[in-house]
Amino acid sequence: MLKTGLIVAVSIILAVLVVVFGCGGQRDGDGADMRSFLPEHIEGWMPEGEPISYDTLGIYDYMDGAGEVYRMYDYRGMIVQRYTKPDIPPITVEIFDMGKPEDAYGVFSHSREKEFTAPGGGAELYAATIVFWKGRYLVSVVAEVESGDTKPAVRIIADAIADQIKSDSPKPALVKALPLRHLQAFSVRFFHLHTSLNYHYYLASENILNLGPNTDAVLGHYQPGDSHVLVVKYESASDATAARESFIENYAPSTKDGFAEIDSGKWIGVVANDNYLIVVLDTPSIEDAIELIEQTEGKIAGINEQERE
Amino acid sequence: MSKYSPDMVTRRDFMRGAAVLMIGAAFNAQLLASDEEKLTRVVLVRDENLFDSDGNIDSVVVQKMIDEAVVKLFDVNKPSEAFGQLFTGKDIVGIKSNEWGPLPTPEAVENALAMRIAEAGVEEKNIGVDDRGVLRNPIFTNSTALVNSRPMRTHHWSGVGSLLKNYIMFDPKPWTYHDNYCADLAKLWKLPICEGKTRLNVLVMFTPLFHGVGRHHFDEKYTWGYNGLVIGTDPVACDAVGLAILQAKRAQYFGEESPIKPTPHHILFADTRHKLGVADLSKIELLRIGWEKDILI
Repeated sequence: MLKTGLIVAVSIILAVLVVVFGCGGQRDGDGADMRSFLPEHIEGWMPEGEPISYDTLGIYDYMDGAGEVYRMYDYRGMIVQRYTKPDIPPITVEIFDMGKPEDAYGVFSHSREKEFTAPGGGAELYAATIVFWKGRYLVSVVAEVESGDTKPAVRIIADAIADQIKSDSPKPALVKALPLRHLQAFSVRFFHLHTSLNYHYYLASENILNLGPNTDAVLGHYQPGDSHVLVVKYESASDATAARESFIENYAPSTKDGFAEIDSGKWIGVVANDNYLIVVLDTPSIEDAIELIEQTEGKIAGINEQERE
Repeated sequence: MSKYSPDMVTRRDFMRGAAVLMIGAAFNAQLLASDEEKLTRVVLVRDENLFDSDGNIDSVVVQKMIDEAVVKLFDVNKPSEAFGQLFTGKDIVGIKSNEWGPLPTPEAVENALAMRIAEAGVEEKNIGVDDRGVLRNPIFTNSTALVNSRPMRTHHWSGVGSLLKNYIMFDPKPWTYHDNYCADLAKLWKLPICEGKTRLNVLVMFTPLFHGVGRHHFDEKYTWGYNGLVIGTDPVACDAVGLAILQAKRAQYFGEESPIKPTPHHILFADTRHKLGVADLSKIELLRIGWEKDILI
């Protein structure tokens, strides 16, 4: 009797779960079904079959090694839907669940060369392609062939998807740590891992700054001078201090009072500020390095103040 | 004492020029050694007439290029002598190709190699060409010898699609080599199915991709007719030469040094960490044959 009751109870729970969450769809951690963001049909464009889902490892089946870019962030899964319209080359929609808005922005910032304010929290538009981020999602809408028909259709589909994603798109607070003066447009990169850092600025083959999934980092490029500012937020002040020591030991042993000339006319500066590490790279003079460090410290003070409020 | 490996590379090494080719400094012909030191020989062969007026590859020219290259590489009088040194009638030979859609290993290259291997005495039934199916292909699983051939191109994760990377299909879990931008691809060459079997490497540089953009990392405008093959027994040295050509092309095209992203350090580590071959251009004897125009190196 007890056993029968248990089976009935489990069956009811399973039935409720199926009703609430459906089955077979690619859901995000909040229970949203990414399929619901896809237009059923729009301006004569029709979905070709059902959307295909790829999980964290399945992304390799879809895009081979390119999946690693998403896996450097909090990638949870993706769906792919193709749209067709008679006599016009097809359009492919990819929606990536990046776990949180910060990482959707991060993966967007990884490769963007220009940025427009819409759709979503920011978008890159080139040829017949739109890539944008909104909430925790990165969305790519790509026409196989650029034409007078496909280019506007890509925008229409992208806008329709953006409308369906109701979340806000806050950029990572750490982005505000970069001084704005001389910061190159669209050069800001947000990431967690040393592989990301090395993509944008090859510091060392090994992870000498102890970057990891729990560190947030932002990198900006400055001109003139071809300099970079890197700010890393660690879990603790001791982690930031350890990273500073590792950087000095492995990259700039001649550092004195936080500064060193590592090559002719190339200076670095490194400061641990509570749980933040500020690294200024390749400034033409020590004065430039000092100025960028001080400006960044001021920016971090502003972030801390905002967080306290 | 640093906890990191002594073969760690930093940006400062690049500044000092120790790993100059990795960050895109223009290739300097002076880097090529000319002293009596034992050098790794690599042949670069180019032919102006590789493509016909319709842009199709002329298979006769391809055969000629390979023949000339191996004669030079092994310092012999005719191609049959070179291939005779490499293969015997008892061999089972897999030609590891690459089928990537926009830029595959040209069939003309596969055929030219297969023909000369057969002429060296290997039975035709014991010669196979494959890429993604190598682990299911009995010629490869039973192989006694391999020939490695693929086009060089920029790659979104490893920096370049190289000869070293071409063996990634020999592991059923290719993604396990992705760490740190595929830094340790040379490990592939220690797999039992590969180790010690590679007799010849043919890096195809007919229309190399020197810059990748977009979803598929391919745009024809970033390819150019270089009409070359880089051939050698050392895959690391061939890759290093191919990479130098790509870097030189990027500098020419963009008007400034333009390092490939991500940095293709797997070529350097194949030398410094895995001792598979030579990545140092000063230790490579590069022999050039044929078309000189815009050779870049």
